[in-house]
Amino acid sequence: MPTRRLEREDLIAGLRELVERLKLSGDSASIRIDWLNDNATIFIPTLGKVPEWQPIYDDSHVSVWVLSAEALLAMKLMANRPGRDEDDIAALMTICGLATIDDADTLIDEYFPGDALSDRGLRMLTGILRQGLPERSPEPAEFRIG
Amino acid sequence: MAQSVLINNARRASGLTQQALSARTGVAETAVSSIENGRDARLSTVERLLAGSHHSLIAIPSTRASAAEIAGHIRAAVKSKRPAEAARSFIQLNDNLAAEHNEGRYGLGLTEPAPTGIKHWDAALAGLVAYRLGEEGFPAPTWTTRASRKLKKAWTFNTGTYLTPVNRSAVPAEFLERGILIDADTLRSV
Repeated sequence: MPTRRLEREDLIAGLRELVERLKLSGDSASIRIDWLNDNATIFIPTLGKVPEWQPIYDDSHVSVWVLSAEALLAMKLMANRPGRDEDDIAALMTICGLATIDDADTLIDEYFPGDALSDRGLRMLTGILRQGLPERSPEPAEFRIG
Repeated sequence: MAQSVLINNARRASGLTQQALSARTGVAETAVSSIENGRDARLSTVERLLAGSHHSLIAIPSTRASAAEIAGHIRAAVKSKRPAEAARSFIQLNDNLAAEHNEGRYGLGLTEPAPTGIKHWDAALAGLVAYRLGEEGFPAPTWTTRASRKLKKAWTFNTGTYLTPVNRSAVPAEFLERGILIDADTLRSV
């Protein structure tokens, strides 16, 4: 029975496999990728600050881009799913150098102008800050996925 | 699903000890134990042990991990004191169920999972299967309605580090009646 935790290496291995499948198929539309969920699109900022996408892999057939930590944090703050987003929000607050509710509100306003932290989001962030943010993890090493 | 999980779950669901299953089937008790611990067995032996537990093999039209398999992951995470991993496995089952429809979804929730070692996970698994199967218009499997799958004192879903209080009005009925406080939004993929 597999009991491993989902680690960074698992994500990299998954991306490698995906890139390989896309290359082999020659037709990205033929691959079913249900972990890229359409529901997420409502949280991708469209009106405010343009979210920075950083390429982590690019060849003539396949390119893989990731959102910046700031944009991810803004999305997570907007989603604020209890029991699911706290760990990510705490880690991203540390990575982005943010430490207060005002910092979080300012970030949301940059990416989602006119929006603010919901009551539930405020409850979540208050709890996170009361308990304390984690220490920043070491910078990840370079990796190759294709 | 691994043979070991199939047989262990079926035997437990029927309330049999390994000794009793051995006596019913003629398979040595040491063999029952080692198969449940991961030793490969012939298909005919697996079928005999399942029949002795009042179960039979079926093929489910899905390759995603079922409730019984995910419960095994949760049990391992609980044993190694990794609550965040248990929570992630639970969310994985949620995503697996949401991704399947009709008989594929029902199949993932059909087999009763063995106890995880933590009552709130046993109740949460039952709530999740009842909730996701209910979405497709299926009745909740009997195992999800057992008293052992209901908490006397409510538990709020969390990963072990931070805990955000949940508004009861946002909790689906299938969870609320089992004492699990989880916001419906937590079950959404983002």
